Amino acid sequence: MLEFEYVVNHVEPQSVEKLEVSVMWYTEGKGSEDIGIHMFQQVGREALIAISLDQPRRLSCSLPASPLSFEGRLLRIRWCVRLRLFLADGRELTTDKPFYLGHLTRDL
Amino acid sequence: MAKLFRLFGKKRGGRMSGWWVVGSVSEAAFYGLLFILGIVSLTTVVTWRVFWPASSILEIGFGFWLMVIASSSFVLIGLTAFLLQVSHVMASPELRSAMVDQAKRDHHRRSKGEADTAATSLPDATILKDSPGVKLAYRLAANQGDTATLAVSAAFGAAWNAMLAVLIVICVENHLVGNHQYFLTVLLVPFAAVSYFATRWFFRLFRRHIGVGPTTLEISELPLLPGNKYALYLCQYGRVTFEKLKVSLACFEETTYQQGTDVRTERHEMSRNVVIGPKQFVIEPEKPLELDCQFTLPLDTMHSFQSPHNAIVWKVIVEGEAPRWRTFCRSFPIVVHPRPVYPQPAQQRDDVNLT
Repeated sequence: MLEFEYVVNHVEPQSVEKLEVSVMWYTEGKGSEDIGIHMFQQVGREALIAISLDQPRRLSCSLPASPLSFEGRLLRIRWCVRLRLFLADGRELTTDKPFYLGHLTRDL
Repeated sequence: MAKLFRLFGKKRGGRMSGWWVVGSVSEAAFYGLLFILGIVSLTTVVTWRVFWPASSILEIGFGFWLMVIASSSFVLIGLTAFLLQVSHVMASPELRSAMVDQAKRDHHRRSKGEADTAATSLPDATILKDSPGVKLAYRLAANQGDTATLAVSAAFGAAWNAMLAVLIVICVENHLVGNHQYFLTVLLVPFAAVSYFATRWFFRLFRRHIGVGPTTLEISELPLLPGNKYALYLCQYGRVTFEKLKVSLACFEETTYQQGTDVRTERHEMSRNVVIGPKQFVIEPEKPLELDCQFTLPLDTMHSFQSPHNAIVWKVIVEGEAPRWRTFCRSFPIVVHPRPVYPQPAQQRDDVNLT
Protein backbone atom coordinates (compact mmCIF):
# COMPACT_ATOMS: atom_id res chain seq x y z
CA MET A 1 0.00 0.00 0.00
CA LEU A 2 1.31 3.44 -0.94
CA GLU A 3 0.06 6.49 0.95
CA PHE A 4 1.13 9.98 0.00
CA GLU A 5 -0.04 13.57 0.20
CA TYR A 6 0.59 16.58 -1.97
CA VAL A 7 0.40 20.33 -1.51
CA VAL A 8 0.44 23.02 -4.19
CA ASN A 9 1.81 26.32 -2.93
CA HIS A 10 2.10 29.79 -4.46
CA VAL A 11 -0.46 29.06 -7.19
CA GLU A 12 -3.92 30.59 -7.35
CA PRO A 13 -6.65 28.00 -7.88
CA GLN A 14 -8.16 30.24 -10.57
CA SER A 15 -4.95 30.06 -12.62
CA VAL A 16 -4.99 26.24 -12.72
CA GLU A 17 -6.90 24.59 -15.53
CA LYS A 18 -6.57 21.06 -14.22
CA LEU A 19 -4.32 18.85 -12.12
CA GLU A 20 -3.22 15.28 -12.66
CA VAL A 21 -1.75 12.86 -10.14
CA SER A 22 -0.28 9.58 -11.34
CA VAL A 23 1.40 6.64 -9.71
CA MET A 24 3.45 5.17 -12.49
CA TRP A 25 6.54 3.32 -13.61
CA TYR A 26 8.77 4.38 -16.47
CA THR A 27 11.88 3.04 -18.13
CA GLU A 28 15.17 4.87 -18.49
CA GLY A 29 18.29 3.94 -20.36
CA LYS A 30 19.45 3.34 -23.88
CA GLY A 31 16.09 2.35 -25.28
CA SER A 32 13.01 4.39 -25.98
CA GLU A 33 11.06 5.22 -22.84
CA ASP A 34 8.02 3.18 -21.88
CA ILE A 35 5.59 4.07 -19.15
CA GLY A 36 2.89 2.25 -17.25
CA ILE A 37 0.24 4.08 -15.26
CA HIS A 38 -0.89 2.31 -12.13
CA MET A 39 -3.13 5.00 -10.68
CA PHE A 40 -4.38 8.14 -12.34
CA GLN A 41 -6.47 10.95 -10.90
CA GLN A 42 -7.52 14.10 -12.70
CA VAL A 43 -9.00 17.11 -10.92
CA GLY A 44 -10.86 19.61 -13.10
CA ARG A 45 -11.14 23.41 -12.77
CA GLU A 46 -14.44 23.39 -10.88
CA ALA A 47 -13.20 20.90 -8.32
CA LEU A 48 -9.97 22.85 -7.89
CA ILE A 49 -11.82 26.07 -7.11
CA ALA A 50 -13.90 24.24 -4.51
CA ILE A 51 -10.85 22.92 -2.66
CA SER A 52 -7.92 24.69 -1.14
CA LEU A 53 -4.73 23.81 -3.00
CA ASP A 54 -2.38 24.71 -0.17
CA GLN A 55 -3.99 22.14 2.12
CA PRO A 56 -2.47 18.65 1.95
CA ARG A 57 -4.48 16.13 -0.02
CA ARG A 58 -3.94 12.54 0.98
CA LEU A 59 -4.16 9.69 -1.54
CA SER A 60 -3.46 5.99 -1.31
CA CYS A 61 -3.31 3.03 -3.63
CA SER A 62 -2.30 -0.59 -3.45
CA LEU A 63 0.88 -1.23 -5.42
CA PRO A 64 1.19 -4.14 -7.83
CA ALA A 65 3.69 -6.96 -7.57
CA SER A 66 5.44 -5.89 -10.78
CA PRO A 67 7.39 -4.37 -12.35
CA LEU A 68 9.88 -4.04 -9.54
CA SER A 69 12.31 -1.12 -9.46
CA PHE A 70 15.39 -2.21 -11.36
CA GLU A 71 18.86 -0.88 -12.16
CA GLY A 72 20.43 -2.53 -15.19
CA ARG A 73 23.08 -1.55 -17.67
CA LEU A 74 20.74 -0.86 -20.59
CA LEU A 75 17.49 -0.48 -18.74
CA ARG A 76 16.25 1.05 -15.51
CA ILE A 77 12.72 0.78 -14.20
CA ARG A 78 11.65 3.57 -11.90
CA TRP A 79 8.48 4.20 -9.96
CA CYS A 80 7.25 7.66 -9.06
CA VAL A 81 4.28 9.77 -8.11
CA ARG A 82 3.90 12.44 -10.80
CA LEU A 83 1.99 15.64 -10.31
CA ARG A 84 1.20 17.69 -13.38
CA LEU A 85 -0.39 21.11 -13.25
CA PHE A 86 -1.98 22.59 -16.35
CA LEU A 87 -2.07 26.38 -15.99
CA ALA A 88 -4.65 28.59 -17.62
CA ASP A 89 -1.97 30.35 -19.70
CA GLY A 90 -1.00 27.05 -21.36
CA ARG A 91 2.06 26.21 -19.27
CA GLU A 92 2.58 22.88 -17.59
CA LEU A 93 4.34 22.27 -14.30
CA THR A 94 5.47 18.75 -13.55
CA THR A 95 7.11 17.27 -10.52
CA ASP A 96 8.08 13.67 -9.77
CA LYS A 97 8.57 12.00 -6.42
CA PRO A 98 10.41 8.73 -7.01
CA PHE A 99 9.97 5.74 -4.75
CA TYR A 100 11.25 2.28 -4.69
CA LEU A 101 9.22 -0.89 -5.28
CA GLY A 102 10.68 -4.26 -4.39
CA HIS A 103 13.95 -5.50 -3.01
CA LEU A 104 16.28 -5.67 -6.01
CA THR A 105 17.93 -2.25 -5.98
CA ARG A 106 18.96 0.04 -3.19
CA ASP A 107 20.05 3.09 -5.11
CA LEU A 108 17.53 5.74 -6.15
CA MET B 1 30.97 -46.67 -43.45
CA ALA B 2 28.19 -48.96 -44.59
CA LYS B 3 25.76 -46.95 -42.50
CA LEU B 4 26.37 -43.96 -44.77
CA PHE B 5 24.60 -45.74 -47.60
CA ARG B 6 21.79 -47.19 -45.50
CA LEU B 7 19.06 -44.87 -46.71
CA PHE B 8 16.17 -46.97 -45.53
CA GLY B 9 15.64 -47.46 -41.81
CA LYS B 10 13.86 -50.23 -40.01
CA LYS B 11 11.79 -49.84 -36.90
CA ARG B 12 13.31 -51.85 -34.07
CA GLY B 13 11.05 -51.57 -31.05
CA GLY B 14 10.94 -47.95 -30.05
CA ARG B 15 13.79 -46.84 -32.28
CA MET B 16 14.76 -46.76 -35.96
CA SER B 17 17.85 -48.40 -37.40
CA GLY B 18 19.98 -46.69 -40.03
CA TRP B 19 21.29 -43.16 -40.11
CA TRP B 20 18.33 -40.85 -40.40
CA VAL B 21 20.59 -37.88 -41.28
CA VAL B 22 21.38 -39.41 -44.67
CA GLY B 23 17.73 -40.30 -45.17
CA SER B 24 16.49 -36.80 -44.41
CA VAL B 25 19.11 -35.08 -46.57
CA SER B 26 18.47 -37.50 -49.44
CA GLU B 27 14.73 -36.99 -49.22
CA ALA B 28 15.14 -33.21 -49.28
CA ALA B 29 17.55 -33.49 -52.23
CA PHE B 30 15.15 -35.76 -54.13
CA TYR B 31 12.20 -33.40 -53.77
CA GLY B 32 14.43 -30.42 -54.56
CA LEU B 33 15.49 -32.11 -57.79
CA LEU B 34 11.86 -32.95 -58.61
CA PHE B 35 11.00 -29.28 -58.18
CA ILE B 36 13.85 -28.21 -60.47
CA LEU B 37 12.84 -30.84 -63.05
CA GLY B 38 9.27 -29.54 -62.99
CA ILE B 39 10.44 -25.95 -63.46
CA VAL B 40 12.71 -26.91 -66.37
CA SER B 41 10.07 -28.93 -68.20
CA LEU B 42 7.29 -26.39 -67.60
CA THR B 43 9.47 -23.52 -68.80
CA THR B 44 10.52 -25.51 -71.86
CA VAL B 45 6.95 -26.31 -72.86
CA VAL B 46 5.53 -22.84 -72.25
CA THR B 47 8.38 -20.76 -73.69
CA TRP B 48 8.54 -22.94 -76.82
CA ARG B 49 4.92 -22.08 -77.56
CA VAL B 50 5.40 -18.39 -76.71
CA PHE B 51 8.59 -17.72 -78.69
CA TRP B 52 8.12 -20.15 -81.56
CA PRO B 53 4.37 -20.48 -82.14
CA ALA B 54 4.89 -21.68 -85.70
CA SER B 55 7.00 -24.66 -84.63
CA SER B 56 5.48 -28.09 -85.09
CA ILE B 57 7.13 -29.36 -81.90
CA LEU B 58 4.94 -29.26 -78.80
CA GLU B 59 1.84 -28.06 -80.60
CA ILE B 60 -1.11 -27.18 -78.41
CA GLY B 61 -3.13 -30.31 -77.96
CA PHE B 62 -3.44 -33.31 -75.68
CA GLY B 63 0.33 -33.85 -75.43
CA PHE B 64 0.99 -30.19 -74.68
CA TRP B 65 -1.54 -29.99 -71.87
CA LEU B 66 -0.38 -33.34 -70.49
CA MET B 67 3.15 -31.96 -70.31
CA VAL B 68 1.92 -28.76 -68.60
CA ILE B 69 -0.09 -30.69 -66.01
CA ALA B 70 2.71 -33.18 -65.34
CA SER B 71 5.32 -30.44 -65.03
CA SER B 72 3.08 -28.37 -62.74
CA SER B 73 2.49 -31.38 -60.52
CA PHE B 74 6.26 -31.93 -60.33
CA VAL B 75 6.70 -28.31 -59.24
CA LEU B 76 3.92 -28.51 -56.64
CA ILE B 77 4.85 -31.90 -55.24
CA GLY B 78 8.57 -31.13 -55.22
CA LEU B 79 8.23 -27.73 -53.56
CA THR B 80 5.64 -28.86 -51.00
CA ALA B 81 7.55 -31.96 -49.98
CA PHE B 82 10.83 -30.04 -49.90
CA LEU B 83 9.39 -27.36 -47.62
CA LEU B 84 7.66 -30.00 -45.46
CA GLN B 85 10.95 -31.84 -45.08
CA VAL B 86 12.64 -28.62 -44.01
CA SER B 87 9.80 -27.77 -41.62
CA HIS B 88 10.07 -31.23 -40.04
CA VAL B 89 13.64 -30.40 -39.10
CA MET B 90 12.76 -26.94 -37.84
CA ALA B 91 10.00 -28.01 -35.46
CA SER B 92 9.18 -31.27 -33.74
CA PRO B 93 5.80 -32.93 -34.32
CA GLU B 94 4.71 -31.95 -30.81
CA LEU B 95 5.60 -28.31 -31.41
CA ARG B 96 3.87 -28.25 -34.79
CA SER B 97 0.83 -29.82 -33.24
CA ALA B 98 0.88 -27.24 -30.42
CA MET B 99 1.19 -24.42 -32.97
CA VAL B 100 -1.77 -25.75 -34.93
CA ASP B 101 -3.81 -26.02 -31.72
CA GLN B 102 -2.82 -22.50 -30.75
CA ALA B 103 -3.82 -21.16 -34.17
CA LYS B 104 -7.17 -22.91 -33.86
CA ARG B 105 -7.76 -21.45 -30.41
CA ASP B 106 -6.77 -17.94 -31.57
CA HIS B 107 -9.10 -18.22 -34.53
CA HIS B 108 -11.88 -19.42 -32.26
CA ARG B 109 -11.34 -16.52 -29.84
CA ARG B 110 -11.24 -13.95 -32.65
CA SER B 111 -14.36 -15.35 -34.25
CA LYS B 112 -16.15 -14.98 -30.90
CA GLY B 113 -14.92 -11.39 -30.59
CA GLU B 114 -13.38 -11.81 -27.18
CA ALA B 115 -10.89 -9.16 -26.10
CA ASP B 116 -7.34 -9.98 -25.13
CA THR B 117 -6.34 -10.01 -21.50
CA ALA B 118 -5.40 -6.71 -19.86
CA ALA B 119 -2.02 -5.28 -20.76
CA THR B 120 0.66 -6.09 -18.22
CA SER B 121 4.42 -5.72 -17.99
CA LEU B 122 4.78 -9.46 -17.38
CA PRO B 123 5.07 -11.66 -20.46
CA ASP B 124 2.27 -14.14 -20.97
CA ALA B 125 3.25 -17.59 -19.70
CA THR B 126 0.21 -19.40 -21.07
CA ILE B 127 1.88 -19.81 -24.49
CA LEU B 128 4.73 -21.68 -22.83
CA LYS B 129 2.26 -23.97 -21.08
CA ASP B 130 0.69 -25.20 -24.31
CA SER B 131 2.93 -28.20 -24.68
CA PRO B 132 2.84 -30.79 -21.87
CA GLY B 133 6.02 -32.71 -21.17
CA VAL B 134 6.62 -36.46 -21.00
CA LYS B 135 8.54 -36.52 -17.71
CA LEU B 136 7.84 -33.07 -16.30
CA ALA B 137 4.88 -30.72 -16.48
CA TYR B 138 5.82 -28.54 -19.45
CA ARG B 139 7.87 -28.97 -22.59
CA LEU B 140 9.67 -25.74 -23.48
CA ALA B 141 9.60 -24.46 -27.03
CA ALA B 142 12.92 -23.55 -28.64
CA ASN B 143 13.56 -20.03 -29.81
CA GLN B 144 12.59 -19.69 -33.46
CA GLY B 145 15.74 -17.68 -34.17
CA ASP B 146 17.72 -20.93 -34.33
CA THR B 147 15.81 -22.14 -37.38
CA ALA B 148 15.33 -18.79 -39.12
CA THR B 149 18.66 -19.08 -40.97
CA LEU B 150 17.70 -22.51 -42.26
CA ALA B 151 14.34 -21.22 -43.49
CA VAL B 152 15.98 -18.26 -45.22
CA SER B 153 18.60 -20.46 -46.88
CA ALA B 154 15.89 -22.89 -48.07
CA ALA B 155 13.72 -20.11 -49.52
CA PHE B 156 16.67 -18.35 -51.17
CA GLY B 157 18.11 -21.58 -52.57
CA ALA B 158 14.76 -22.67 -54.02
CA ALA B 159 14.04 -19.25 -55.58
CA TRP B 160 17.53 -18.82 -57.03
CA ASN B 161 17.67 -22.33 -58.49
CA ALA B 162 14.23 -21.89 -60.03
CA MET B 163 15.35 -18.65 -61.67
CA LEU B 164 18.55 -20.28 -62.91
CA ALA B 165 16.60 -23.20 -64.35
CA VAL B 166 14.34 -20.81 -66.29
CA LEU B 167 17.34 -18.92 -67.67
CA ILE B 168 19.11 -22.14 -68.68
CA VAL B 169 16.05 -23.34 -70.56
CA ILE B 170 15.71 -20.03 -72.42
CA CYS B 171 19.43 -20.01 -73.23
CA VAL B 172 19.46 -23.60 -74.52
CA GLU B 173 16.35 -23.04 -76.62
CA ASN B 174 17.89 -19.96 -78.20
CA HIS B 175 21.06 -21.86 -79.04
CA LEU B 176 19.04 -24.72 -80.54
CA VAL B 177 17.20 -22.43 -82.93
CA GLY B 178 20.39 -20.65 -83.92
CA ASN B 179 19.79 -17.46 -81.96
CA HIS B 180 23.06 -17.42 -80.02
CA GLN B 181 22.75 -15.08 -77.02
CA TYR B 182 26.29 -15.04 -75.68
CA PHE B 183 25.62 -12.40 -73.02
CA LEU B 184 22.95 -14.59 -71.45
CA THR B 185 25.23 -17.62 -71.72
CA VAL B 186 28.08 -15.82 -69.95
CA LEU B 187 25.66 -14.46 -67.37
CA LEU B 188 24.70 -18.01 -66.47
CA VAL B 189 28.20 -18.68 -65.11
CA PRO B 190 28.05 -16.28 -62.11
CA PHE B 191 24.40 -17.20 -61.62
CA ALA B 192 25.37 -20.86 -61.48
CA ALA B 193 28.14 -20.03 -59.00
CA VAL B 194 25.66 -18.25 -56.73
CA SER B 195 23.33 -21.22 -57.10
CA TYR B 196 26.14 -23.61 -56.13
CA PHE B 197 27.06 -21.62 -53.01
CA ALA B 198 23.40 -21.10 -52.02
CA THR B 199 22.69 -24.83 -52.34
CA ARG B 200 25.84 -25.72 -50.44
CA TRP B 201 24.93 -23.21 -47.74
CA PHE B 202 21.48 -24.74 -47.34
CA PHE B 203 22.69 -28.33 -47.20
CA ARG B 204 25.42 -27.47 -44.69
CA LEU B 205 22.87 -25.85 -42.40
CA PHE B 206 20.40 -28.65 -42.98
CA ARG B 207 22.98 -31.37 -42.29
CA ARG B 208 24.23 -29.58 -39.21
CA HIS B 209 20.70 -29.06 -37.95
CA ILE B 210 19.65 -32.67 -38.29
CA GLY B 211 23.10 -33.97 -37.38
CA VAL B 212 23.05 -32.54 -33.88
CA GLY B 213 19.46 -33.67 -33.55
CA PRO B 214 16.51 -32.07 -31.78
CA THR B 215 16.77 -30.93 -28.19
CA THR B 216 13.90 -31.46 -25.81
CA LEU B 217 13.73 -29.54 -22.57
CA GLU B 218 11.06 -29.97 -19.91
CA ILE B 219 10.47 -28.04 -16.72
CA SER B 220 8.44 -28.85 -13.62
CA GLU B 221 6.60 -25.54 -13.28
CA LEU B 222 5.81 -22.30 -15.08
CA PRO B 223 6.07 -19.39 -14.43
CA LEU B 224 9.11 -19.51 -12.16
CA LEU B 225 9.29 -17.69 -8.83
CA PRO B 226 12.53 -16.48 -7.19
CA GLY B 227 13.66 -18.67 -4.31
CA ASN B 228 11.80 -21.77 -5.51
CA LYS B 229 13.33 -25.05 -6.61
CA TYR B 230 12.57 -26.48 -10.06
CA ALA B 231 13.34 -29.67 -11.94
CA LEU B 232 14.71 -29.67 -15.47
CA TYR B 233 14.87 -32.58 -17.91
CA LEU B 234 17.03 -32.50 -21.03
CA CYS B 235 16.82 -34.99 -23.87
CA GLN B 236 19.30 -34.62 -26.74
CA TYR B 237 18.93 -36.75 -29.85
CA GLY B 238 21.36 -37.34 -32.69
CA ARG B 239 24.70 -39.03 -33.25
CA VAL B 240 27.28 -36.73 -31.83
CA THR B 241 30.12 -36.57 -29.34
CA PHE B 242 30.03 -33.39 -27.30
CA GLU B 243 33.36 -32.23 -25.99
CA LYS B 244 31.39 -29.88 -23.80
CA LEU B 245 27.68 -29.75 -23.15
CA LYS B 246 26.34 -27.11 -20.84
CA VAL B 247 22.87 -26.03 -19.72
CA SER B 248 22.55 -22.62 -18.13
CA LEU B 249 19.89 -20.24 -16.98
CA ALA B 250 20.48 -16.76 -18.37
CA CYS B 251 18.84 -13.38 -18.04
CA PHE B 252 19.13 -10.66 -20.68
CA GLU B 253 18.23 -7.00 -20.91
CA GLU B 254 16.86 -6.14 -24.34
CA THR B 255 16.23 -2.64 -25.50
CA THR B 256 15.06 -1.13 -28.77
CA TYR B 257 15.95 2.37 -29.82
CA GLN B 258 16.10 4.57 -32.86
CA GLN B 259 19.45 5.59 -34.27
CA GLY B 260 18.80 8.03 -37.08
CA THR B 261 16.34 6.29 -39.34
CA ASP B 262 17.34 2.84 -38.11
CA VAL B 263 15.69 0.92 -35.33
CA ARG B 264 18.29 -0.99 -33.33
CA THR B 265 17.99 -3.64 -30.67
CA GLU B 266 20.69 -4.15 -28.08
CA ARG B 267 21.05 -7.03 -25.66
CA HIS B 268 23.10 -7.40 -22.52
CA GLU B 269 23.53 -10.55 -20.50
CA MET B 270 22.79 -9.75 -16.86
CA SER B 271 23.37 -13.12 -15.26
CA ARG B 272 24.11 -16.72 -16.14
CA ASN B 273 23.86 -19.68 -13.78
CA VAL B 274 25.21 -23.01 -15.01
CA VAL B 275 22.74 -25.79 -14.25
CA ILE B 276 24.44 -28.75 -15.98
CA GLY B 277 28.05 -29.25 -17.06
CA PRO B 278 30.17 -28.47 -18.88
CA LYS B 279 30.71 -32.20 -19.36
CA GLN B 280 31.62 -34.55 -22.17
CA PHE B 281 28.83 -36.72 -23.56
CA VAL B 282 28.59 -39.28 -26.36
CA ILE B 283 25.14 -39.61 -27.92
CA GLU B 284 24.00 -42.49 -30.12
CA PRO B 285 20.83 -42.38 -32.23
CA GLU B 286 19.60 -45.52 -30.45
CA LYS B 287 20.11 -43.97 -27.04
CA PRO B 288 19.48 -40.24 -26.69
CA LEU B 289 21.15 -38.33 -23.89
CA GLU B 290 18.79 -37.83 -20.94
CA LEU B 291 19.73 -35.56 -18.05
CA ASP B 292 17.75 -34.64 -14.95
CA CYS B 293 18.69 -31.81 -12.66
CA GLN B 294 17.29 -29.38 -10.15
CA PHE B 295 18.03 -25.73 -9.67
CA THR B 296 16.96 -22.94 -7.36
CA LEU B 297 16.23 -19.49 -8.69
CA PRO B 298 18.07 -16.90 -6.56
CA LEU B 299 15.91 -14.72 -4.35
CA ASP B 300 17.36 -11.44 -5.64
CA THR B 301 16.37 -12.27 -9.21
CA MET B 302 14.68 -9.74 -11.43
CA HIS B 303 11.47 -11.02 -12.97
CA SER B 304 10.65 -11.10 -16.69
CA PHE B 305 9.52 -7.79 -18.06
CA GLN B 306 7.95 -6.79 -21.36
CA SER B 307 7.12 -3.31 -22.60
CA PRO B 308 6.99 -1.93 -26.14
CA HIS B 309 10.70 -0.99 -26.30
CA ASN B 310 12.32 -2.74 -23.37
CA ALA B 311 12.39 -6.26 -22.03
CA ILE B 312 14.01 -8.51 -19.48
CA VAL B 313 14.14 -11.99 -20.91
CA TRP B 314 14.91 -15.29 -19.19
CA LYS B 315 16.13 -18.29 -21.16
CA VAL B 316 17.42 -21.79 -20.59
CA ILE B 317 20.40 -22.12 -22.92
CA VAL B 318 21.80 -25.44 -24.13
CA GLU B 319 25.30 -25.07 -25.56
CA GLY B 320 27.54 -27.74 -26.98
CA GLU B 321 30.87 -28.12 -28.66
CA ALA B 322 31.22 -31.04 -31.03
CA PRO B 323 34.21 -31.45 -33.34
CA ARG B 324 32.08 -32.70 -36.23
CA TRP B 325 29.19 -30.23 -36.05
CA ARG B 326 31.07 -27.30 -34.50
CA THR B 327 29.35 -25.39 -31.72
CA PHE B 328 25.63 -25.24 -31.33
CA CYS B 329 23.40 -23.18 -29.08
CA ARG B 330 19.69 -23.54 -28.51
CA SER B 331 17.67 -21.32 -26.25
CA PHE B 332 14.32 -21.93 -24.59
CA PRO B 333 12.46 -18.87 -23.27
CA ILE B 334 10.90 -19.09 -19.82
CA VAL B 335 8.96 -16.60 -17.73
CA VAL B 336 9.92 -15.53 -14.21
CA HIS B 337 7.30 -13.80 -12.10
CA PRO B 338 8.04 -11.65 -9.05
CA ARG B 339 7.68 -13.28 -5.69
CA PRO B 340 4.70 -11.81 -3.84
CA VAL B 341 6.12 -10.22 -0.67
CA TYR B 342 2.74 -9.39 0.78
CA PRO B 343 -0.82 -10.61 0.20
CA GLN B 344 -2.00 -9.25 -3.11
CA PRO B 345 -5.29 -7.38 -3.24
CA ALA B 346 -7.95 -8.72 -5.52
CA GLN B 347 -7.70 -5.64 -7.73
CA GLN B 348 -4.17 -5.40 -9.10
CA ARG B 349 -4.50 -2.09 -10.91
CA ASP B 350 -6.29 0.92 -9.50
CA ASP B 351 -8.95 2.30 -11.76
CA VAL B 352 -8.33 5.51 -13.61
CA ASN B 353 -10.18 8.19 -11.73
CA LEU B 354 -11.39 11.33 -13.46
CA THR B 355 -13.12 13.97 -11.39
